[in-house]
Amino acid sequence: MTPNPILKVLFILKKYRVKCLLIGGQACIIYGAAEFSRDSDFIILSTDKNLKCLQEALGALNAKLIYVPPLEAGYLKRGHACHFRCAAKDVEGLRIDVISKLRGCETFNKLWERKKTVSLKSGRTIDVIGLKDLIQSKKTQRDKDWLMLKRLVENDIILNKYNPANDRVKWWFRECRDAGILIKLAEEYSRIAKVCVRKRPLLSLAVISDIEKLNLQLHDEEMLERQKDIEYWTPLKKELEILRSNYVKKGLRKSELSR
Amino acid sequence: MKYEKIMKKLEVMYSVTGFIDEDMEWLSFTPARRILETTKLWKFYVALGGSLDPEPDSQSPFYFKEIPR
Repeated sequence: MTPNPILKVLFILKKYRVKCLLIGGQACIIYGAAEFSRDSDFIILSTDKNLKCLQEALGALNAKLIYVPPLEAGYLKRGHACHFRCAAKDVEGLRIDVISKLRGCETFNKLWERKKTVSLKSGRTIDVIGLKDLIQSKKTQRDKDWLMLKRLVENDIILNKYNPANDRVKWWFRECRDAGILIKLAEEYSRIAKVCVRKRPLLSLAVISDIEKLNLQLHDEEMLERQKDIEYWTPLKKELEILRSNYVKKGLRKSELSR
Repeated sequence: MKYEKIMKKLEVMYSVTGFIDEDMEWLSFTPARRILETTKLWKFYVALGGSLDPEPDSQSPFYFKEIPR
């Protein structure tokens, strides 16, 4: 196996001209998260042409579908993810998850316009979802995503602490989830903080340094987003259960899941 | 930006965020360097027989039992 199977997957997708962006844990690493992610997640453009390219790339990786739904534009457009496991040399066992819609995020084409391209010394490039969109995609029902989201925003504050553009500071005020940091930011950028209160009223507590109430409201804000994510996934999970049940009952052909 | 300059910046923030030294060093890397460093981890991980299965996460909508092929 080559040292980094993720890179191999990325290069194969590029080779087959699959229009996709790296998301999930691998994207977080690129933006400074100190974690070790063992799978690869992509958001893809769900056109017939692009799905054909993806099928070819998956073929080259000897990747098989391991769960419902099948790789079809209709499912992807409704928000489902398709899950594969590679069997080719150098990537054996690696999971690839693809999705074409992220809750709360813009369309693929908008995400593509805002993507980050990382250039490697080899001259190859990796297309990654933009940081702001990555943060948005992390507002899920999972604890680990919220920990990651917080850390990514803090990373950005640390790396751009000196002379940040006003828009960047506004974004920090919109996305930072640490009461202590918000209070410090409000002290440093009081004018911008007051402007941002209109869109995020809890910032008024940062302006007056009320850390206790601010922590409570940050918690409520997070719970609300988590609930929205649960509600978003509930019908999709029901649909998956039906698909899985049909698959088991009818004993669909093996090719149904392995194409 | 030079490594030393970034490290100095990061040191200023150290007490604010509670970041540890390793975090700060990691942050000082470029995205491309982070990918290369991860590659080194993969080498060890695979050599030690590490699993490529995602970590079990019951909160994830993607947490499921695979359908046998």
